[in-house]
Amino acid sequence: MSEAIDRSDVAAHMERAARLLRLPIPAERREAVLDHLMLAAQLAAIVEAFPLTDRDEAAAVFRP
Amino acid sequence: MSAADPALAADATAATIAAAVAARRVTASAVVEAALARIAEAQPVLNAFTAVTAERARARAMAIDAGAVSGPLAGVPFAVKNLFDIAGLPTLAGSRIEAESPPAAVDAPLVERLEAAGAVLVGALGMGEYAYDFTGRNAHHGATRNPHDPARMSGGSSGGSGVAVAGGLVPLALGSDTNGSIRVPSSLCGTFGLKPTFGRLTRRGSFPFVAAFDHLGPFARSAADLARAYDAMQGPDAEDAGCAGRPVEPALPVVGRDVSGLRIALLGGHFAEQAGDGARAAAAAAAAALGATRTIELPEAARARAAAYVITAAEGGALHLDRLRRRADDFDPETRDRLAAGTLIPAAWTIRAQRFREVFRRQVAAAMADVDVLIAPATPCTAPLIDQQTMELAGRTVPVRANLGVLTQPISFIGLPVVAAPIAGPGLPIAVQLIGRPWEEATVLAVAAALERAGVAAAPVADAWRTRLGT
Repeated sequence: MSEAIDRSDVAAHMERAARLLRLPIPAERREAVLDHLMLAAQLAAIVEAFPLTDRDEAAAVFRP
Repeated sequence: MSAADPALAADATAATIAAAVAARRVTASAVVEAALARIAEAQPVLNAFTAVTAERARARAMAIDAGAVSGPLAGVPFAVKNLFDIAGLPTLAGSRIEAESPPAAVDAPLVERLEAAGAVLVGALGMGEYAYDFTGRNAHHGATRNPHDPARMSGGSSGGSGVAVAGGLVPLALGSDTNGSIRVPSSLCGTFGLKPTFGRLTRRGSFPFVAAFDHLGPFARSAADLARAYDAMQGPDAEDAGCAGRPVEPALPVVGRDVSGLRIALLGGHFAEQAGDGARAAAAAAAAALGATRTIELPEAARARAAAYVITAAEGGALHLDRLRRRADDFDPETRDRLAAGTLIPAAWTIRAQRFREVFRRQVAAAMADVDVLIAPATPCTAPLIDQQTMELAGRTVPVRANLGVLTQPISFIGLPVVAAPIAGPGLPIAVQLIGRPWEEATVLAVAAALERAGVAAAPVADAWRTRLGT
């Protein structure tokens, strides 16, 4: 990971994205949800650090 | 009934039972009654079952005894994780919310296929809520408890499946494995478990979690029993988009084959760093018994685990979004907040993780070009205490719930077939993963059987739980 993830950035995203999704997160659950989202952000940053090329496509199972 | 026949004993394998029933040495009805009695006895201590289908099982056993049903699993009692559809029961998937769902109209195809081979369904097994779990804890139905020490976790999310087989309640159970949910409880409870290749067995009639990673498979106390059940469940299913439609490739006829010509290697790197001493010793014991002297690394394994985590959280969260909006208080708090966080993951993160999946698949395929089977521990440690929240791993204190699968997750991420084989020894059990190339389930099953013959892998019935009866 090149940059530390700012918990306040993740918290701000959580508030806005939850509102957009109409997902209520009561005050007493915010810290727990934020902990999980922080972990996801840290793991996503590990994935992000891998140099994919434009031609690396996801494997799909959809068969028309 | 004579209690003397080995087919009626708690440690009877599916093979023993099927042979005895086919030879009419015991009746299927006697076998089923013995299983039902063990289940009733163990339930207050182990909490493996959420439903017992006694009347259905008795009727099925009578049909077998009347000659109406035969097959390679004749009279073998089995139970399934409660995310499998069972006709007449709501499919709970470990939740309270799904208890309000209408009962399933028909059995899941894997249940149908096992019963067509003569097996007898005796009930539904407890699991972590919506399969988002490695512990076996469940706020609604109570934790499934480890038969080696009921104060300890079963592992999850197929906790009841591991408990029912390890505790000698049934010789065969089905579970699901998205990130390790067959292999983790197999390790902590000390059973054999098979996570087939992604796309091998149909998932129709089961409650989904992460469509890209969901697998179904069996638990048993021998590799041959796994093969027997697996063979009965193979076959295409056009109604599961993830089912690859492979022809049936029977494993049982070759499970006893000589494996000395196979090229087998131990996995190092992530799989050694994220494992405790006991887990590394188990993998080393398996490698030594198989003559595996090479150690190889999958350099991107930790990143694969990270990618699997992100995809799981996002897909699982999206699956449950509407329930999280409407019924948040009816979730298990341990799964609810993780799923809620998953709904908020940006699409760019999951798409990147999906694209990395294909890169990792290619890398591992290249690494396995001259290796037939890889060995790694299945869990970093033996069973933690039921309520334990954190553990030490690679010098850090980490959450138990998210990390029991740190060694299984990179492998299911790319769908390789794995047998979890419990390594014989004193103390609490721990298993190794025997990992094969895609579609080579028969090979990893044969390696597990070779470890059994060498006395290195074994799944004896755990009876320590009996000391808790009546307390």
